[in-house]
Amino acid sequence: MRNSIRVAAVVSALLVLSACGTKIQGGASSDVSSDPKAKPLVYWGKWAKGTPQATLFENVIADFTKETGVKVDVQWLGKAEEEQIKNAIATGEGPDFFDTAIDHTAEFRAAGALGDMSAVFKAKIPGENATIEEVLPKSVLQAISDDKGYGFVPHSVFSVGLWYDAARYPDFATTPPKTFRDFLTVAGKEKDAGRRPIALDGTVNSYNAFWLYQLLLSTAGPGALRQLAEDPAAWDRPDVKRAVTELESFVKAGLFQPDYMATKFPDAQNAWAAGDHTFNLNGTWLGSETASIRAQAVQARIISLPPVDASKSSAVTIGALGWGVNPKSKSQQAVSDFLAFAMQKKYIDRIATDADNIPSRSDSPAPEALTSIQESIRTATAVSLDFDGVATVAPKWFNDVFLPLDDKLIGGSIGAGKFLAEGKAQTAELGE
Amino acid sequence: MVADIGARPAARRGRVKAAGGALHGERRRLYLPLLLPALIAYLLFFVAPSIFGVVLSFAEWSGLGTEFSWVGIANYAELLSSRIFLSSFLNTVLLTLIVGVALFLIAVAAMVALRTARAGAFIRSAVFLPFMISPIAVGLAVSFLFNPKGMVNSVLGLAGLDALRQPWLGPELIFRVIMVGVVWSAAGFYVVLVMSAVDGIPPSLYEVARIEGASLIQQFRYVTLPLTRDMIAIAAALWAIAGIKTFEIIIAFVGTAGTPPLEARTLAVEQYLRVTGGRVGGMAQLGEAAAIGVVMTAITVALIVLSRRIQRRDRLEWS
Amino acid sequence: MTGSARLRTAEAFGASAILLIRAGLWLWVLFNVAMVLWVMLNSVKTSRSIFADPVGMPDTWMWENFATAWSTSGLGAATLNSVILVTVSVALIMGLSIPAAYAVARLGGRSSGPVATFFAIGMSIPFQAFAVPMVLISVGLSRFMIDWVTGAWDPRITVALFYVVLSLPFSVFVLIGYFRSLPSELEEASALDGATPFRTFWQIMVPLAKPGITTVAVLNVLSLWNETVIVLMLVPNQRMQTLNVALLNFYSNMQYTSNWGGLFAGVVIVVLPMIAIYLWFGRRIVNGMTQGIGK
Repeated sequence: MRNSIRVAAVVSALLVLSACGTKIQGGASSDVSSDPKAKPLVYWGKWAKGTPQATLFENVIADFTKETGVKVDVQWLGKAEEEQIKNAIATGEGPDFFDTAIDHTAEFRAAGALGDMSAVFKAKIPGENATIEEVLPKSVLQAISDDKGYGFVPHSVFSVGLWYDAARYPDFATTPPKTFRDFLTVAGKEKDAGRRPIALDGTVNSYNAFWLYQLLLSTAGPGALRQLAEDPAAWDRPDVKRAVTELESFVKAGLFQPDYMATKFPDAQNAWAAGDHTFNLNGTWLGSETASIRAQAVQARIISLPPVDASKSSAVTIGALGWGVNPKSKSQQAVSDFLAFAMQKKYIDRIATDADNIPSRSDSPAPEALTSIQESIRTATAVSLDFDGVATVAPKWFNDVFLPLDDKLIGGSIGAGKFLAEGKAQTAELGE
Repeated sequence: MVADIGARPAARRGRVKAAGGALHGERRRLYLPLLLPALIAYLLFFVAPSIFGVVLSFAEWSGLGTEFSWVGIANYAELLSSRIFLSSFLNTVLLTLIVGVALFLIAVAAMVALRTARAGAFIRSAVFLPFMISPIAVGLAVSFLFNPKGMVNSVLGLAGLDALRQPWLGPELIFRVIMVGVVWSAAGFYVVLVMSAVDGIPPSLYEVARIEGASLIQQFRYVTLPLTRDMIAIAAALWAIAGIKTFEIIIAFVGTAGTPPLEARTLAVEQYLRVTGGRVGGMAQLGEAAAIGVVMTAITVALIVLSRRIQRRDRLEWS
Repeated sequence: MTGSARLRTAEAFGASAILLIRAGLWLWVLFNVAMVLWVMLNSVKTSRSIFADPVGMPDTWMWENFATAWSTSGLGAATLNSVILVTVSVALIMGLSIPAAYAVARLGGRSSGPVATFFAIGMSIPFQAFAVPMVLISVGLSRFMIDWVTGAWDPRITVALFYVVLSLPFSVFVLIGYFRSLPSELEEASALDGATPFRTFWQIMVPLAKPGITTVAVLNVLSLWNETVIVLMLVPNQRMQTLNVALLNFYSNMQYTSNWGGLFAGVVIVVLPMIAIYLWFGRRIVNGMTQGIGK
């Protein structure tokens, strides 16, 4: 296993993936022009045209061009963008800069798609007396870094937490349940009153895994899942067992909506937004995703999942979206100028107001629903990446061992004992 | 007879015998210019890559620029010991066989009842429709029907059949539901195919059968079936080729929010995940992916050989 | 006599079985129509009522779903891509397979049997067998063309290339069968009239083989129109993708916006033209698809 992770890191560089052999107006390989106005910067975005992010960035680009005369040719490639970028850059046809996210840092780095970003982070933001580095919270800077330094310039931050209806629990924001057990009691009361308290789209396996991962974070801390992926012996750890048994008893309590393992995504989250259920453990993006469906009476808010032991507060899961810079781009300075321009408060504020996400800057306020989580992020001392980053470093284990077993555990078809035994055996088998 | 072409040398009746040696030579000179463009394209971009695919299945490789090493049959050994591969292998075989049987039964039913039905042509066109429609759209629409609170369960509820309501998209049932979707989208094609053979049977044969007092079922048994056997064999071979490759409908069915669950993966889906390194990003396993392709070829060949057994050796002539 | 009684019961059983089958067939027809209507209904519903009330009528008629779907999905450009890709590919397939099939069926000597078998073998090879080499060739080809020949390359050309070779075995196979089934008298008469062999092929035999050619063309159009995987693997740029892939991308982008009514509007935009074409040409498609097979 260990070996294959290393191999993965090295070779993901030149993956032939959904191979890109195309010449889509290559930014980096075109001839260099001394006049920056002559050659536009090429930007590959992953947003669909018409999404708030796409519109916001188009505005930023328009302002930037008006002010500097440098054109930016943006291509909204949709989700395919992240799959194509490595090959494009490896073959010298990549854009000057592109959308990326934390969970791609390892593979993009290995592919040579991310360069040294220290100069960019020292760039002064126009009209402000600060650099990009200075306006970002420490926890976010930590999350977007690897052993080679910063990976990309983040504009949005997200986390995972417990969404609830503040109309039902107005005091949760100030006095949330102290422990996971307390939360179970609260939810159990709702169930006794004839209402299924928790919504879960069980056909999305990574959403199922939020539960176990957040519990693991709480008992075993960041990195525990990664150890489960790499070392069969880790499955015997008492803190791992603790998290798994907590989840087992939680599943047995029957708190999810009926047939939760069979929903057509996003049925469950829509039902939650419509007020049929109170809770949903999900990413901070859930609020914006379901905004158009939400019932008037529902006040969607998010807090961190209550820890298993009250004394031990868990690490905050941090994800981030942002802009990576093609190290082969011939227009490094122009890209740096653009990123500093885009990081102005007036634009990053709009990540909250337009896109309903948490802005990366410490001084940009999050949407009301997310303020509690934003506060956790600002003050966090320990951070974890989503699923400890195993989705990228050990995808085979994550997809073929962990997620299927976790589905069975959360679906109630196997118990904690079987889960741990199978997990250990299959991890060992994979590592052979 | 199509399915026999390969086995037989060039049909003798196709040769020009009378035109004399010069003309014969002229015709022979046309042979290569007409044949070669297709043959070269086929050799260069079909045969050669196929052989390369087999070669790759004995190697470990993650793509251009990465280290290439021979691993012998390790990829196959790895596949055989992988639960994931075995379950997708089993799913593929099950899907092809079960759906194949369902399609066969539907086709037979159509052959019995559709020939004499009023508005038969209309029915044919209407059942063929889903085949025309993008499998992505089919998978997407059908999967919405089976949401726990979706159309199917709602209708069952309205009909008072609450006991039949099921978590259709849950791990236990999803693959069966997908098979129903595949049957729905493919059946029309095979109905139309076998009905075209039925149309080719001279009505006089049925006339005779009727005069001799044969019921519709007997007419099917003694007239239709013997004369459409070859077409059924062709249909079976076509289904084997298509069924093994089932992919789009599954991707659309399970949605794009994650990797398809193990219960619903076919070999084509599994291979796609390995070629691309999975949705979440990761290392492509080209050697194993190539090995899966070889395995898929083997299943297809086996099923085609089976389907040829349906065919009669002595061909019945009616014209 | 018990024998005739048994016959009568069998007949009665047969008759009711047939009624049952016909009822089943009509139900199937009804279901297909209902399915189309249901998708159309969903396309004018709000996201909420699609999930909350799958059976009911829309509470508000969301005609703007269509505007949203059209403007955000890129389905327009994708339709154009699909049309061009399928047209060019099928034209090439026919251009290669008709002469080859004629040569094998009518002109070949001893080698034609093995050549026919050689093509037929290709039918049993799913494209997955060379999916990996295909991806590598695609990358290699575009690098080669960009670096050495044209300076630019469009991956859609590679897709068309593979569409063509993948369709060759089946097309050549069916057409060989069809050419063999044609009577040789006309060919002989034409030759005696002094026509060159090529003219005989082009002006006599190809028109005669029209039913077979139509079948092959129709089947190729249908299967290529619905092809998804190859485009998914070879074409990275969304602007160059085909209708199916665009629909799939549109589907995955719905996660961000939860506009499920818009998604169904997208499905309608994709499906309705096909249904319209089918209503128009349906009989000809169905007939054309089958008349040349099995000869």
